[in-house]
Amino acid sequence: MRGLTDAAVHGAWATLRTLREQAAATLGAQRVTDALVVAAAFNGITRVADATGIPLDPNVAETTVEMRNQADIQRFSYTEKSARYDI
Amino acid sequence: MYPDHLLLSSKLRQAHVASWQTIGRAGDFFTGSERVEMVKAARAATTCDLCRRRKEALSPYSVNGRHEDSSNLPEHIVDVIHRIRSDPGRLTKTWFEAVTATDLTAQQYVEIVSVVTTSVIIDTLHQAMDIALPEVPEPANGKPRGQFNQNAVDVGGWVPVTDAPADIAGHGLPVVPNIARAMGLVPSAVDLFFTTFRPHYSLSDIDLSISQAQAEFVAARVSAINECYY
Repeated sequence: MRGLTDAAVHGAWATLRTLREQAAATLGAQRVTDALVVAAAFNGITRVADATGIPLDPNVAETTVEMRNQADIQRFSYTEKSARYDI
Repeated sequence: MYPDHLLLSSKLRQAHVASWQTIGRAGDFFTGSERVEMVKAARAATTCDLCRRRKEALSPYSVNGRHEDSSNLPEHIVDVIHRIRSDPGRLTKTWFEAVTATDLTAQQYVEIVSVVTTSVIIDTLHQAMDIALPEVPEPANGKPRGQFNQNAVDVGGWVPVTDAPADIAGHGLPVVPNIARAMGLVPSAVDLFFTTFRPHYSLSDIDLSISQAQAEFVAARVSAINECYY
């Protein structure tokens, strides 16, 4: 599923074609399709979030501090992006 | 829009057809023709040399130039669309404030975000299914309605959002999570995007052949690749 997702988001269509066939043999064609259905949706909705600077939901912000730091997600915060990319 | 043999639900098929038609009609701040041009610009961004050079740069704001784009939109709108399409993870508030200080109203910006991100979902699914991209919608006549949500509120994002209660749902997020409020300044932008998105995913009891955990894994992976904080 990771390979399918990565290929779909990176636009590696030839790779995705091969992976889709391989994955269908184990997961089944419907599950492969549905994984790509979710990937396509999040390829859009992540852009909504990134383009509007929408903050984390308050309860998520409160309860995920440690996880965000451990997983290095905090580097995606809008403040840190500004510090990195603004010139 | 999708061949019968693809294992896609009728809800998704109908939603995408409806959204495609909606893009071709006037929104609240752009004509149908302008919205169709936005889809063309979003597609052009995927092969644009300036976007490629920006993507490779340490900062996308350090590279100037002209986009490769065949739409007839003004350059400043083309730039917004290409950045959202090609490098969304490195958009910054400073950039947004510059764009909306001179070139666009926040309402116009939100409508652009909605059209572009809707087309990203539809185009990504077509390419992932190994079928040709759909022809852009036929633009309909009509003037923008100019309607927006005058009661939108500031929750710390770049644009005002839909006002909503903070009640928490069973899945642990607010009943109306921030992402569902993000384009609430322009309700038609919310409608367009979520009409498209809704058949793809839900926060609980997902109506797909994969499990909720598998769907969350895919979602998290896309978010990581796109460097999405939310």
